[in-house]
Amino acid sequence: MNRPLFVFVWLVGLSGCITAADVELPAASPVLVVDARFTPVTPWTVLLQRSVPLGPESPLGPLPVTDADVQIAGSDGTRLPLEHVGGGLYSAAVHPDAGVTYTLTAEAPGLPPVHATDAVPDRPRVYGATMHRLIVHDPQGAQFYEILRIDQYGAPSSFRIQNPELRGQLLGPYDDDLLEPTAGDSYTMIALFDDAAFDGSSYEIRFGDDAGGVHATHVRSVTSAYQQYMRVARTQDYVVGNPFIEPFSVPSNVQGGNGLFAGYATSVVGSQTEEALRHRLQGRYRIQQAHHRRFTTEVDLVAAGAEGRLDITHDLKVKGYLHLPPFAQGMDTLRIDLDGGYRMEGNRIRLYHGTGSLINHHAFFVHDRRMTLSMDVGTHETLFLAWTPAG
Amino acid sequence: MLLGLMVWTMGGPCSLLLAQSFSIRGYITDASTGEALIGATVAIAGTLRGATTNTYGYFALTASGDSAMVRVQFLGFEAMEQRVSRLDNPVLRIALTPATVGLAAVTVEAEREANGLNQQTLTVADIEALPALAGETDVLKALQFLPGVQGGIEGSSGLYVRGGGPDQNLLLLDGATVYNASHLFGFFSTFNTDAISSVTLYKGGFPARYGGRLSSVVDISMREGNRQRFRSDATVGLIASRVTLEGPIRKGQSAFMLSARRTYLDAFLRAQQALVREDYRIGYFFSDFNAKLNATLSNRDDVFFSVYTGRDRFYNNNLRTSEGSNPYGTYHLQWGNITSTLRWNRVVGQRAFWQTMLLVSRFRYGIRDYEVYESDLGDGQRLKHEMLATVSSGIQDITLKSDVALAPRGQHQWRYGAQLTHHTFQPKAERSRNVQRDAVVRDTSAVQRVFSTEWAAYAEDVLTLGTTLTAHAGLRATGFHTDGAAYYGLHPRLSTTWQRPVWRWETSVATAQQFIHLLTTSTTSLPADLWVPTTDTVGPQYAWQTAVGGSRALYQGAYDVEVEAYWKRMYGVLTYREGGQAFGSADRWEQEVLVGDGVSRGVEMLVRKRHGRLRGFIGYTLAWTDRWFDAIEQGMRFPFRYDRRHDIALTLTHPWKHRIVSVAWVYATGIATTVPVGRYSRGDGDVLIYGSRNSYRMPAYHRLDVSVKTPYRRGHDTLTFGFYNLYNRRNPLFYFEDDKQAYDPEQERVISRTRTHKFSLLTIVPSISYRFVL
Repeated sequence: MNRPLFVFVWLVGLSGCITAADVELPAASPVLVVDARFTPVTPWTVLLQRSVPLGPESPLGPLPVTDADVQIAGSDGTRLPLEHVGGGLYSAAVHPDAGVTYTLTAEAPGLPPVHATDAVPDRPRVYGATMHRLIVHDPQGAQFYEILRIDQYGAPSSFRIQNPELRGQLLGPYDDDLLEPTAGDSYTMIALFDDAAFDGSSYEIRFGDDAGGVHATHVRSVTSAYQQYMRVARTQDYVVGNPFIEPFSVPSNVQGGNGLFAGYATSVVGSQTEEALRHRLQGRYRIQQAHHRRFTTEVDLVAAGAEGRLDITHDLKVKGYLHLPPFAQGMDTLRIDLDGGYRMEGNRIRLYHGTGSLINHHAFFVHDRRMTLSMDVGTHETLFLAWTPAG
Repeated sequence: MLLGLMVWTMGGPCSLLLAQSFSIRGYITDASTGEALIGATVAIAGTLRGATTNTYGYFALTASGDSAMVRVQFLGFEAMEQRVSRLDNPVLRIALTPATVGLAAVTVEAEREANGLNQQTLTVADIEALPALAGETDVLKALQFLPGVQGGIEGSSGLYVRGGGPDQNLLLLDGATVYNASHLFGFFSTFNTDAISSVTLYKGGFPARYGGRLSSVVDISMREGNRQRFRSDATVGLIASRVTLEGPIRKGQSAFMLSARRTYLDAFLRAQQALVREDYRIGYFFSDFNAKLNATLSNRDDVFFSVYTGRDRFYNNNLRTSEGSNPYGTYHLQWGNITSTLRWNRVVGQRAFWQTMLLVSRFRYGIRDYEVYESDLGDGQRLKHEMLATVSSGIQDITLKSDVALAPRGQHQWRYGAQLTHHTFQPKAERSRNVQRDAVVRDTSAVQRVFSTEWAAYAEDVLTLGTTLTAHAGLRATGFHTDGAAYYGLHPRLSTTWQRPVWRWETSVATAQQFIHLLTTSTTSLPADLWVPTTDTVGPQYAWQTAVGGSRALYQGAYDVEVEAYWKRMYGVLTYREGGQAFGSADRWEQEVLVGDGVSRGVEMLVRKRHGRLRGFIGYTLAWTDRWFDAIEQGMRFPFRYDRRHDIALTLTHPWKHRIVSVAWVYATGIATTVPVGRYSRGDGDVLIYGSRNSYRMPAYHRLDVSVKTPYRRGHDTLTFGFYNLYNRRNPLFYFEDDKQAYDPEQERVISRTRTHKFSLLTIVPSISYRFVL
């Protein structure tokens, strides 16, 4: 919370009061939600879920749609049916191509059909890259860029961009906040900006001089749909619940539904490519640690009989299982079939399998081939899981 | 328009038929203080000719023959007559004697007649008669009781006039623009009622002399000071105290007025924090200071100089204690206005009243964050870091303005003038300084400034046609020049009054243009709200408004009834694009806003009881206000946040023994807001899906305020005791969701249990204040 807002709340809190409201907010009908960010170095994956109305009891996390008919059609004549591999993840062992416009259609029982169109933009042309700068040769016309800097483990690393003409749009929402002075340029994890300041020219991007942990810089060309969605979605993360900001929906290019279907292309400066990270990850894993913690009480679930195995392949498939002993009241031993697919997001991996399982869609942090997950399973209750290479 | 031209053409020759006419002009003042009486009626006995005094107490009218008997009346004062000869015809200075003193006179004064349906004038007595939040009487909150005026969120002194936004109100203090009229994030306005004499609100049909905003003009006059004797009074309240000093500099010729107000929450907090030995000092205060000097230089010349300065300040200081706090430093958030007015009024010849003003307005907000901390380098070595960051923004105007008002001649009464304003917009100025081991490692600063010039010229004519029909016509030409862009406009204004035996009918049509915009990041008034100029990509706002209505008296004048319907169309209004306001960037605001249109239409009714022991009024507004933007919901219309279908305000005052009891009750349709209707998962978090913009209505807003004024020391002192929101209505300010999570064994997943809560800002708030003559 920025400080003037804190001042405001502090002052009016003296006379304000909070009461439970007996109001029924309207509920929207469920729709198909698409999550597909596609790029030529990764096979097609499309995640489908259904939106849920807000209510007194609604499931946390996504409600995967597992019985949809999903097709990709390309402007080059491609016709590609996608196969459900688990947890609402649909994939095909085919890569998108740059310059081709793709249209997604998806139909699922009980939900309105959806379609969305976007393309993979050309890879950004990057020159003269060092730890502290790089030059982007920007073509004529509106372009959008996303920059990530990652460390040796593929984890996003915070960084500063020192170009004053990009201020106010790097990531928002408080990068350039009038209410909160910053001692210099603020840090960001992902920079998302347009080329209004340098359209059609070679443009030097200068990073802060504190880039010691950075092993690679990913410069992405992204489409307008991608830029709009990601920018507003990230902003919503920051401001949701702030009563002094007009609520806003995240714009979607999915007709009839919600979500994002958008392409991007990456130029990598350094060795940590998305493909290399996937290569490093593939192999067999076993569950090494499983703990359940409630307040200060911790139970070792491995000692109580937890076990599991996981095989990860380079083509985004997973196979395995997880058995957990009871850790909540009224619970039997939990047996989770992990056969399905996965997605990589930097140094995080999300597993997609089954429909209503505990760890479906949750992100494991990958650190030197060790995958860990700490998740809330109740108020003041957490579950910790760790996979390590088997043998 | 054609009819208008015919009427004008006919009006000219008629004036030539007049013979042996002469102008009578002068000033009407309060004999007890020497201050100008605004709105006093001056008439020529035995005729229907008359005039009312302007903001400076000046009037001018035309008489025929060799002499005329002038009769001057003002409610609460003894009427006075004076014969004026054509041959011996000086600028008159007539002083009226107050009829009575004390609270009874106040309530009489409070019932002064409004000047028209589009124009409402409130005196300080009107404002002080109303119950007030925390006992702090407030000009802008008093205006919120009037039909067609909304108050925004709970407790706010914001104004939303006939569907307009808060940026569309021109707030003038002695002619100078006040850009941010709020203290304490909008809970109180910057106008200290001890320092002002009257407030006039124009909510449509603006005279051509006003411009620059679309929705309303709030013209506030500062008191001039007592020219007859020294006087001082003070008010002690729960959250603030006020003191006012006034008196003659040269008796009957010149006077001064000084008034100050300050809150003292910070003093209480400071004492409490010191008492429990806290190692921080956190506090907040606001203060206002008004000063005015005026002098009559000759029978024809008067000069005035007034200054207002006000500020809000929040501070949070971490003290350096003997144990060595780490970090320590200071954080100051401060904002405030300064306005000053230098005015010269001169009566020129027999007919002209000429005034020239030099005006300065400034609003500035700034943050200063200074922090010192020490890091441990091991081996007992410590490294000292100092960081200083400052950010400020603001706007400053310098305006030169001149007007000439002519005495009526024949059927015409002309007025014309011009003004030139130099705006300095400073969206952002910042400085960043880092020091390590007493060596400066970084010291950068940057200032953005945009300069603009705005000019306007106007002409007005009041055309009298017979004894029942009056037309007030005007034309205003405007221009705005800024970086790479220039805009011009021509704005006709026309209003008519037709006095029938029972009803008085009024019509008006007016256009207006607004060259500056307010970027506001929230639903309340935050100091970081930013004024920015029209640019080559974001053009000016434009509106036209028409209204028709009537008024009449009932039961021998015991009641007044006013009814008016209006229709207002707005073009080029701004809103942030989805999520844009959260970026709050001064650098790229043009990319973050959307330009669209708006419309507001409605009917306003006001019934006033003017006489008897029970007095007051009830106002009702039935209105619809919509906005639409191409980029929001495919250009579909949606309700404005403060679109309120029904709005009722009831105020009553009644004597109770020697006390005065005041009651105010307000009711308004709930605020239109946008609520989440669904969600989906995006990785580690949820994306909320919202319903259509402003499609959900909060419950209706209503509350009852009560105050009791008890006079002491023969009415010189007054004890006021009151309650805001007496029946403790918990009006929702906003809703929020509270999630609790639990593992559901049946579904084998974590379930979120969501409950909706509401936040109510001001429940019952008692107040007490004591006003006394020093």
